[in-house]
Amino acid sequence: MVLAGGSGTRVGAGINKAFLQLAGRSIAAWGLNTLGAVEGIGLLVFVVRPEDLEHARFVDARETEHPLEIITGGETRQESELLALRHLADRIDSGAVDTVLIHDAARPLVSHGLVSAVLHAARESGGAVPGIPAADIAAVGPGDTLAPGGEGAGSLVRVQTPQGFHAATILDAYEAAARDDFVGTDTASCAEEYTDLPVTWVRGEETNFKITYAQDLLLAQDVVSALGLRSA
Amino acid sequence: MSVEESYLRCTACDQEAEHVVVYAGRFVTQIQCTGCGAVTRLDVSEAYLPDLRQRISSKPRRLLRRLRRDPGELASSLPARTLSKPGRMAGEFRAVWRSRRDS
Repeated sequence: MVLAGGSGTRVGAGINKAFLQLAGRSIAAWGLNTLGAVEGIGLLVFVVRPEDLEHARFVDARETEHPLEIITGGETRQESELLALRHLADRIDSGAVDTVLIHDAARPLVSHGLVSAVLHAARESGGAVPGIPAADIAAVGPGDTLAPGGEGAGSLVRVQTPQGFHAATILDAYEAAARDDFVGTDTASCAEEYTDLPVTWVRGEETNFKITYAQDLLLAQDVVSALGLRSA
Repeated sequence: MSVEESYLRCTACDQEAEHVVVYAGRFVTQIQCTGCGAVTRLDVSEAYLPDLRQRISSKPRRLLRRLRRDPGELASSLPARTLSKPGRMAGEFRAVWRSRRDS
């Protein structure tokens, strides 16, 4: 599942940043193409806002070889994830879909290797996320000072996507969260609250950054050039 | 040259604001924050020509793929796109030249 629900859209603004062009195709198309090319991924669900449907259909028709199932998401990321899981519910119940990977469309440079690693780890343990060890993190103390002792350094990771989970379990967890009006920060937080799945982490990639700042677009363009990646 | 607008966070003012993104071919050559006016320009002149060669060489394959997937769409859009191509290419060259001059 690739989520472009709320990425960079505001009332009256231009296009959703997930549909900005990056080296010849939209930011979202990069991730969709990478996920679609990984062995074991059978279908791609592309979750977009209603006003982005035309852009999503263009991506499907012109920017990827992999057929997309395009659905409209909800008001929040979690609601969009729930709607996407419900879209897959029959296939999850029948066993045709055993694992789901949930990816942020604004992370265009995820690699095949990372997707594969998350998928493998999720199938092994039930839940997996990519993370970058945050060895350079420091706690802030009072005023402008740093907290003494460097507590937490080395034991924290910066979590990325795609996040992978056993499909039936995460569907149940999202339904339970919806009943309780629980809103988590990401898929893993909902899994932690409503399942017993041990969520493991695999080493993420620095290049799998999220396009947030304007300069991230330039950085992504440089990475595409440096790695010799090309749009078809 | 093409121009797109989208909400991004500005590195200069650290606010979420609409940004105007200017492309020369497949390259971003300028980004401007409409909130604070900060402009980032990038000289893409050296990368442009090799990329243009790649675009030209892959064009037949891309057209064939479109033909296979949706012949009707290709037939209806191709004439207008072909006629407007010289103008669009001239716009691209101007954007590349500007990126070299202003960066």
